Amino acid sequence: MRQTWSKALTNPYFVIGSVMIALLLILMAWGMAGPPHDPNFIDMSQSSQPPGPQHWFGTDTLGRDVFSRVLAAAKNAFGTGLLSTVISLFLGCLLGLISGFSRPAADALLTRMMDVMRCIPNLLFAMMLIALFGAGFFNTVAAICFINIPNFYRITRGSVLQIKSREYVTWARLAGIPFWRTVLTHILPNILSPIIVMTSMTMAQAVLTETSLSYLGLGIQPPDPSWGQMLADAQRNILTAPWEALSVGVCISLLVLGFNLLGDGLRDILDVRNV
Amino acid sequence: MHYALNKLLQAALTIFLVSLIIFLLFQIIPGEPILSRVGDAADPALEEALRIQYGLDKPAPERYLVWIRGVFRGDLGVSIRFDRPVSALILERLPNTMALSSMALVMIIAFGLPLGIAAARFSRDARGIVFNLFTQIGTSIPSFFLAILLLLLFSVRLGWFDVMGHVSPEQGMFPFLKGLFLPALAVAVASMATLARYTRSSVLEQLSMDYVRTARNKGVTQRRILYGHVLRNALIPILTILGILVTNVLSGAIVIESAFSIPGLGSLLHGGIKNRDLPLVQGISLYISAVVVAMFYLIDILYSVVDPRVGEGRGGKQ
Repeated sequence: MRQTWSKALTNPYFVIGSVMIALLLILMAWGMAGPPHDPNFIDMSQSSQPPGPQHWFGTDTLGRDVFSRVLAAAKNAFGTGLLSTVISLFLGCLLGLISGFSRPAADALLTRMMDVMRCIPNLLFAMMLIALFGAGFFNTVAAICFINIPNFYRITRGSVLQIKSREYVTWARLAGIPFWRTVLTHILPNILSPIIVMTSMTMAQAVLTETSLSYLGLGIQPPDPSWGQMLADAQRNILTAPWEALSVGVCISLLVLGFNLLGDGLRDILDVRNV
Repeated sequence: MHYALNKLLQAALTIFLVSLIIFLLFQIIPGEPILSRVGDAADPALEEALRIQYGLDKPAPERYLVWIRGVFRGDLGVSIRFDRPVSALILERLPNTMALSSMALVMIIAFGLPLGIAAARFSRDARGIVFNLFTQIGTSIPSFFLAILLLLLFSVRLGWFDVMGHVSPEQGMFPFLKGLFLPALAVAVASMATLARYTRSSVLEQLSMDYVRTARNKGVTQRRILYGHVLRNALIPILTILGILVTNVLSGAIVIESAFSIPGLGSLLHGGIKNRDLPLVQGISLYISAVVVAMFYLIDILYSVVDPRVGEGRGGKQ
């Protein structure tokens, strides 16, 4: 344990990634505790002000403080990312376990279904679901969760197939140890490392998908603030007020980069190869 | 040959399942497209008549057969918003998306491969970190934000490109391709970084093999080893991620076409979703998925040609 920690603290990717995520978490907390200005306060006399001591990231065309709006939208980026990743982690692992332990026919059917899902580009699949069920926070989470299930399914199923034929699993069954305890004590510890790495990578993808959907106006809906939708608005005033697009875009990139780097670092630290 | 046939059957099965999933998804709200056509204050008799006209009174399996039979004849349904066949709309927009995606793909391969090879060649610890950081930045910047950055730099600051540079091909091939350059670059960068990372690790893996040490001991120059032996073997596993890269490019094109207002499949789909034009969305989704499946199939075949071990006997090495 201590060895893992010292490995983690000397791993540049892990350290840089964690610092980035921590920084954005602090911004999110600040936004929830009370940002410097009201993010929805419209003041036309302050329209399109460049960054300054009053407004750190400047103001948008309606005179709203961009910094406060960025803070307010952070919780939606984290929220959709975390929620969708956790749910797809749970469902993906569950399906992977079922598939790995069930009869070949059922396993083949599930695996085929997951392969088929892979053939529909992720963003297209998410857009299709949104077209049918409508936009909004929960539908966005559901759509992103759905497209990420195969990631966790694949890892879990692969590990189960590898471990299930080992002798100690057979002995455990012969000894009358309940199935769920075998899973808990023998299977889960073995798949923990790849799943941790995959979770970090999936978080990055989930944030990217959410901002893409919101950018297209198909994700989180106004007045609920989101980075993607702010960027789409800011793009119209890119010539007169580039600071809004720049600050929002940098925040999105930092969050995605943070989780990608964290995943890279964790892969080195936990010595995972197949993710 | 046996291998190719087997793979073809699998691809056909996959396309069938994809079409089934798409069909079933769009069955969840069966009456909706019809209702949006008649408006809210429709009288039930008219609605019933439309239901029969569009075959919605029949059971689902029968409707699927009717639909899929139409698909085979090239009939993907009729768009509600445009009141025209979906297939005609797709064909009209296809050239722009094709041009954008192929341009992006050329950029990905032209820059991603050499970058990865160079990085493997000069791989010392510090440089490895710098390379990793830069490629991770490349994969992490969302394409639509990158598009804005490129516009700010190349169009606003340097004035090399028009700000909203889409030109139809009738106005000349060069302006058309020039207008697509920045959008294609915005689509390409993330996949370029991914390809460079794969290439680097694949080349590094080959460089650690025994045959490289043998060649080196025989006095073969570093250059010959790299380009004559290593690269040939390293490129084989890279083929497998080509499919993922093309899928990424198609996803990227959907967003970027909307960002740059390029009239392609992506912007057509986007408009279809915004206007709840479900037949259009269904048609485009099926079309794009079928293209992806076909491409995965081609790559499988290509893989077995390049690496004869694959496809020998039952399913090859794995």
